[in-house]
Amino acid sequence: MRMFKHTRTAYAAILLAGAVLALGPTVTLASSQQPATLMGQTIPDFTLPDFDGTQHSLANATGQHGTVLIFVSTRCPVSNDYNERMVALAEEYQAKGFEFFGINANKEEDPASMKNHARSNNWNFTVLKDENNVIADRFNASVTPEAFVIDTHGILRYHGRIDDSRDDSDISSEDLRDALDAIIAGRQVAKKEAKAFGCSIKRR
Amino acid sequence: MIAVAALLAAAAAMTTAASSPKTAPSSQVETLDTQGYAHLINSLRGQVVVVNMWATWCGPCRDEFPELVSFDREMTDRGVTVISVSMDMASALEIEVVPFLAKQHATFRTFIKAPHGDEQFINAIDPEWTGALPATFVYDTRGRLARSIIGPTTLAKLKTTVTPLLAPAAN
Repeated sequence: MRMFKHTRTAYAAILLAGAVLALGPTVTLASSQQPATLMGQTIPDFTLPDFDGTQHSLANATGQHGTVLIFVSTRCPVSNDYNERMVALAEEYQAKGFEFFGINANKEEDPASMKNHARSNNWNFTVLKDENNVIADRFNASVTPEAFVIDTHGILRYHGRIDDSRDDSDISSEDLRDALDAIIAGRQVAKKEAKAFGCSIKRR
Repeated sequence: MIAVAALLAAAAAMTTAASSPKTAPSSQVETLDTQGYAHLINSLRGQVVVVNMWATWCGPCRDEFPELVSFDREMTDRGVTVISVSMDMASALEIEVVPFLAKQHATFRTFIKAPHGDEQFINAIDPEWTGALPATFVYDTRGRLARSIIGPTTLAKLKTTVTPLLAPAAN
């Protein structure tokens, strides 16, 4: 069993970056947003329930190469445009040693709606409910869909978009796939962070 | 006579827009990429520019849009230019974006972001912006980014943000 230890470093980075940005003269940020990067840092363990109430811990994830977390939404059209792609990626890369989790941190989306949504879209990965967006805040997740890849040492290796186009016939950069392939091959992830437009996570 | 005819035509056009939201011309919504955005901001030096990034699929964007329309109406004669940039896909232009703009009676210039290059577009505007919508960017009269409002905004907040930028330059 892998154990991701709580580190002072990760929290210090969050607090420092938040303080710097709060003092910045030209940027106004919503109070819940902290654009600190956790890239390369050890991610503290956390536990969240799935839509049936079963608790899942990052420390107990079983992927031999790591864990993929994707913040998702039942209502966001952008997130829903990726439903089939997320299923395809999960099918392929769970077989290659990554465990996939969806995380729903939207305040207006309850476990019952998450369950219906996951079933109707044939999701083949567990979806967790992040009540009060505690984990979304910890990861500085801001939109859906937004992916985080954590390796077996608990280190965040990739953060950002799944790919560069909502239109699945017009993709030119498969950033999440590239990151997973790099980790499997024991290489550095070439593009560690990639932004995209998405629906804001509806926080409490 | 000509002036009266023009007024009548304008009134007729307004009535049409109000009663039939889907008649707004999509040709007025131009495509915009990162380079075009930079040129646009440069071309508007001398005015305070407020750029709202939105999408029809973004609930908070739709909710705040009337505030932007009101702000434009109040500030358009005071040296403020309002622009909106839709992040919708091109396929949504006719069926979503244009009807929405017409329903909102938006008269400011609206663009739709060109396909591809989202990350470049986001980082060029403000590296701290994650791409979350809505987002509003305020430029001073020299074309410099003066304020980034990430998340929903209001008429009052926009006025508070813009007012100091309209004061004569101290230097």
